[in-house]
Amino acid sequence: MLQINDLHVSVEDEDREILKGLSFHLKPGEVHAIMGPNGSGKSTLGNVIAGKDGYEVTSGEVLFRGEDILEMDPEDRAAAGIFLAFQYPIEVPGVATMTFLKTAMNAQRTARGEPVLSTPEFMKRVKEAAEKLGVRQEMLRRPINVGFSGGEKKRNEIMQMALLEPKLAVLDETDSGLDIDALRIVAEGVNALRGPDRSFLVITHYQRLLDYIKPDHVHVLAHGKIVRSGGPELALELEEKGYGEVLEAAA
Amino acid sequence: MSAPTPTAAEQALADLFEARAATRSNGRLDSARAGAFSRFAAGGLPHRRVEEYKYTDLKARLRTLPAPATDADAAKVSETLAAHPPLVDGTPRVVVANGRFMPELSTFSEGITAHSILAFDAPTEGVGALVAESTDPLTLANVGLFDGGVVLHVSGDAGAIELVHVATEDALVMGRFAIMVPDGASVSVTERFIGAPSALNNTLGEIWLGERARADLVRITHGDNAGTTQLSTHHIKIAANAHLEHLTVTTGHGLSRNQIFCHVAGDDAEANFHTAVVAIGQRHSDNTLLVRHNALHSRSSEIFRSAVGDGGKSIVQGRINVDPGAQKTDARMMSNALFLDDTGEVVNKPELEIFADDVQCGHGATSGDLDDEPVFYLRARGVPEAVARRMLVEAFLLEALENVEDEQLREALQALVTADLSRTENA
Repeated sequence: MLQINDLHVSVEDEDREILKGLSFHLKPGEVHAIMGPNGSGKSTLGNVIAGKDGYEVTSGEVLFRGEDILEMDPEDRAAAGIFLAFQYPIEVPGVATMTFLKTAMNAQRTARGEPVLSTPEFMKRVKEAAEKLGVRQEMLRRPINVGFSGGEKKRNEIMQMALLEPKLAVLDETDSGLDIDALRIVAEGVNALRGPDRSFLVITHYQRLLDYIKPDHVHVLAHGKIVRSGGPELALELEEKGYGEVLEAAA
Repeated sequence: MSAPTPTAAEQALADLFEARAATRSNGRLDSARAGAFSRFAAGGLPHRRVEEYKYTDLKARLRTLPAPATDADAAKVSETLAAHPPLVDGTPRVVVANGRFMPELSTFSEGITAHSILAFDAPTEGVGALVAESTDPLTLANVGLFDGGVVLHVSGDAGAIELVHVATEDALVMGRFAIMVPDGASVSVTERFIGAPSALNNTLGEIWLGERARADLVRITHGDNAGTTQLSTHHIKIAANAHLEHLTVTTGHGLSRNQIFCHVAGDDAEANFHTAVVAIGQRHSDNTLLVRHNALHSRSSEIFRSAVGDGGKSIVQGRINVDPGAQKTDARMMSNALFLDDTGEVVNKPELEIFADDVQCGHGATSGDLDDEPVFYLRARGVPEAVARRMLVEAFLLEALENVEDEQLREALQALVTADLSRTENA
């Protein structure tokens, strides 16, 4: 599904390398967690996969279903099946949530050569997804994320993920700012989407989220590289010992 | 120093004034013509050395004028009206064609009576009072030369009407109107300009709100081509506890100068002014606003949103004057401009003049490109870049329409702005 080989990334116009030879392989149906201390390059990884401007890939490759995506526009990556749930979903005043959802869903469908959704079908899908994730109708009537609490914004991200049905979802610190109840709702939303053809990359600082979303593999990212990989037990070890000790042992 | 030689345009206006002398009555409005026109003629068309017109040099831009409008052919007016149905289905409309009130083509709602402004010569009526002291050249030119127009008297809750200015020929049109909203009454008026694409409109409106009155005014100045010139001036006075919501929407091509002179004269009155400008291609859009507060606890807000590109130009001149003693005034002005490319031009000139010591007044201005973050957010969800940008430009402009309470009207206005953005994209 996603294969990253020796990826080196710098911030554009700065001589500062953030990812320094990162490699891993995420297979269809798998959930991998990327854990690491602040500043290790976790969010950069998510942004580079989604195609955000401002980064320069100096070497390496990012293969999605066998194809190098680094030259693709973000909207083409989205249509191909990549979804990034943002760490800080922004507010977009003036753009109605429903208009945005319909535009995004139909743009992806058009790009894939699928017929656009009829309005009743679209409404039905949104209603179902919103109910599951506790997104109130009143929120859907507002401009994107405007006036939403932190938790509501995160739920809105997962609702969009459910509607867009990506092949690969990258969750960038989706747990940050969530209380336990919201965390459970979000995790249930993710788990409901798990399947043999869909993979998840869960970026997180804490082990907490992984109690709810069980990963197949855990990678520890530090100083722009994966320094250790293992099973779910690695997350528990990190929680117990802290990053310092685990990183020291890996060095 | 001798007076400068008049331009062809100024000479044409002087000739028109002379030619119409014989038809003047001794009525009050006609008597005011001579005084106003001589004051206009002394300065001529305003130019860039006149501070208020520094960025819109009418002397240079209007070297020659189209011929003055003649009486409109009713069949032609009907045809034009049919081609531009009301923005909200079924809204009654008052028609002023080539500057003349057309009662036979107008429809009215209960609560509104309309008369030709030419019949309003009795000095007790108040029409003309708001412009009597004006030194604004466009106001003076209209008062001196107006073709005709309409006076609307509102009673009770009069609902919504359209005030439609129709030009049937590419002529010089000087219509005039007054809207009188007495104590406790309310009305919603949408003012539109339709018809001949190269007409030159210089319209003048007086709007008076009595105590506790409410008015929702929308002014749409739309140019069909680069030859369109829309000069529109509103003089407004609002009494205690009255509430005005005023919106100007400027789209299309050509030259526009939209003026507002508002006197917040009563305690606890509120006046909010929003302006949405699409200035793309050959458009020069000038929005000039003066709000004077001279009462206690009065409030005003002035919000301007402009999208400029492809050589278009948006000028915003906003001035708030707070008189001595107008304590607890709360006045806020903000002008935001969005550049669609690197060829547009924006001028922001905010001014505050405050003579009271216990007030809250502020102004701000921004201009720039769209933020990258929302563009990326939309693209990351699959929205193509051009569509994402377009949605965000629309959103930026449509925020200026938020105060339009009538949902159908707001949607119609949104459609107008959206259509203008797509037209310019496809051009």
